[in-house]
Amino acid sequence: MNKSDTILRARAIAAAKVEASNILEDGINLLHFRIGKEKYAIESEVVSEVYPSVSLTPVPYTPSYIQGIFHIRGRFVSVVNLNDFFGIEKMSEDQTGFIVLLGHGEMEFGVVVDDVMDQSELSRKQLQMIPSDFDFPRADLVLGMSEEGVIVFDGKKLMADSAMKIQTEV
Amino acid sequence: MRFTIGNKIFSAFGVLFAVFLIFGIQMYQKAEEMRKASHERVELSTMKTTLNQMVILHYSRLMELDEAIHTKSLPTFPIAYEECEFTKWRAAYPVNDPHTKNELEKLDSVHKQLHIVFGQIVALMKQNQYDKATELYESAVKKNLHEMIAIYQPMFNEIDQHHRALVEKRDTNLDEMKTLLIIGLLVTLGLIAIFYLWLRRSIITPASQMTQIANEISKGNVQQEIRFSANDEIGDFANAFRGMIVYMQEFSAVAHRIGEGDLNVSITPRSENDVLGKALNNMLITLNEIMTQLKEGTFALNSATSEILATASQVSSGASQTYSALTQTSASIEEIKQTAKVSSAKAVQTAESTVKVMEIAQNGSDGLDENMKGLNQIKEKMDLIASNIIQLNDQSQMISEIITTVEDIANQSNMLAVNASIEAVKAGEQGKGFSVVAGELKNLAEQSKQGTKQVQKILFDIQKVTGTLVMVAEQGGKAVESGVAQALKAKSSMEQLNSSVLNAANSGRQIAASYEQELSGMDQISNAMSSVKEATSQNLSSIKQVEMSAKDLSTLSQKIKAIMDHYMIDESK
Repeated sequence: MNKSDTILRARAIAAAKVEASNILEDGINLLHFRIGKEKYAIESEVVSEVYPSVSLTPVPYTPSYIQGIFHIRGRFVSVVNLNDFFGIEKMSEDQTGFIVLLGHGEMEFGVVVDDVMDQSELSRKQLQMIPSDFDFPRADLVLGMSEEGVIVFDGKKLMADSAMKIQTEV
Repeated sequence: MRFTIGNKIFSAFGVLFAVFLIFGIQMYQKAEEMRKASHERVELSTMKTTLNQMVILHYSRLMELDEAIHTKSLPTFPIAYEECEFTKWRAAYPVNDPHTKNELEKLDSVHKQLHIVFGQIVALMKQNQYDKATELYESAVKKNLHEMIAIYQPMFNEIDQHHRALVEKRDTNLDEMKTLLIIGLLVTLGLIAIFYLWLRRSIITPASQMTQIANEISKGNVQQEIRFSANDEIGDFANAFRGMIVYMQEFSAVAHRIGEGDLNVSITPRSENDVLGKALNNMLITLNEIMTQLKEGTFALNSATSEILATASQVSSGASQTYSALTQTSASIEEIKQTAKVSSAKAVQTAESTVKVMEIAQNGSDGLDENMKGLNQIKEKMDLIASNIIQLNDQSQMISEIITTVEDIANQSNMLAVNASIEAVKAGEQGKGFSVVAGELKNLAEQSKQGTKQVQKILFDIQKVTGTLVMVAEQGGKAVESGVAQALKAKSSMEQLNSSVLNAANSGRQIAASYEQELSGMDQISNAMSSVKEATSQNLSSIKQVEMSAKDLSTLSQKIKAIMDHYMIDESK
């Protein structure tokens, strides 16, 4: 019990420190994820859930970035492939590990990601503009880029984008 | 009358003897004279001695008497005249002439007188009238003594004179004898010299000459000449020797002629006992006969030897050819024999080695059976291992599933944690505590993941190992199978080998047997060849010898013919 006590204590201290540093003014709580080699982040506000990857049922007559739909707790959620959406070529194999459920208002869809990393508090000031030589379509949907080169999406804008609204009618 | 050597010698000795005789007689006479003189001298000597003795006696008597007188003792000597030794002496005294007799008478009378005086003196002494005795002694005796001496002296002188005369005579005689001797010696010497020379001329000279001639003849030199002649035995001897020499010369001349090759000579035997002459005659006859025959014979011999030579050469060449052919044949047979021997040896070796091979094959077969047993065991073990591995695999599979489950759980926990944190953020202030819990839950989930990752890694390793093991087992199994298959193959090969080796062995034995037969046959041939070869070789050598002999013979006959031609035959014999 001593060992566990020690570990817990150390954790508590570390967590406490994290807590201290986490308090930032004008901070956004971001959820970091990875698609292929690129690291992205999105506001945790818009993240409703992280769900493990499941098999998606493709829906015909839908844009290519709609990877499919899946069933979660009684409701169907459509899943988007961000690379296709943004027109970025996938740099790596399809290793979708998770589906990040984004939800804002009534809009809800999932994003296929390879991996979900930690959450972090980030100040808006720390966000930089995307450099001009960095070819990223739909830059309007991007809040900026962090110091570590993490592309931070504007979640609300993303949710509101018209491209996301798809007629589900056949 | 011949003055023979004997006569000569006799005469020489005679002359010598005469000379000896003359001188001898002379010497004899002289010796006789000397003997007489010597006798006389002896007599004289005796006389002198006697006289001396008488004188000494009387002197000693006198001294005795003197001493007796002085010592007043009686003398011991016989006083009386009759007892005196004088009488004896006188008897013994050689009286040869009246003068001596006269003197002796005188002496005797004096002596008698002396004895009378002695008697007187003794009588006086007996009467102890020593003075008178002495007186008488002094006077009478002395007087007597003087008288005696007077008589003695001339007697002595006479004797001495006589003695001297005799000695002188003796010396004269001796001188004469010496002279005679010298003369005699010289004469003898002269005569001996003369005779020596004479006899030498008569005997020694011719004898030595003839000895020389005889020596020469004994050396074979019969051309000798005797120049000596005399009318005595030596001369006869010389004549006879001359005749002998002539005889020998004649014969040697004849022999010389014969030696020259002229058999046309003859010898007349000197007598019935001329053995040499008769023998030579016979020899001549025989020689003539022989020569004739020889001449005929050599001619025939010559022709015959030529024929023989030709034939011998032919035969020799033929024999040489035969011999060389035989040699070749013999060599070939030897080669065949050698080959057969080698093959036979090899066949025997093969037969022996096949036995070994069969043994080895049998060993191999047995080994293979064991091998297969072993392989089967290995296979069983392999199967065991494989089943074990499968079990292991199943278990690791189960573990893997469990791990996957755990991982799932961890992931889900992570998800839950993330969701929780998101909700916590959404909750705002109230959610801070919850976000901590969510963070812890995430950590836990992370650790679980790590743990599962490690376990997965270990499982992965195990699976790798088991995979390897399975592979190995499979390989082993395959290897075993292949091994078994190979062993079976090997076994079948062994059996095939065995059977073929057996065949080979049998064949080898057959070959060996046949080779043995061949070998014995070859041996026989070889022996026969050797015999023939030897015979031919002997033949060849004999032929060669014959050829050589024929050549010699031919040469010889030629020589003989030449010799024959040299001789002239007496056709009459």
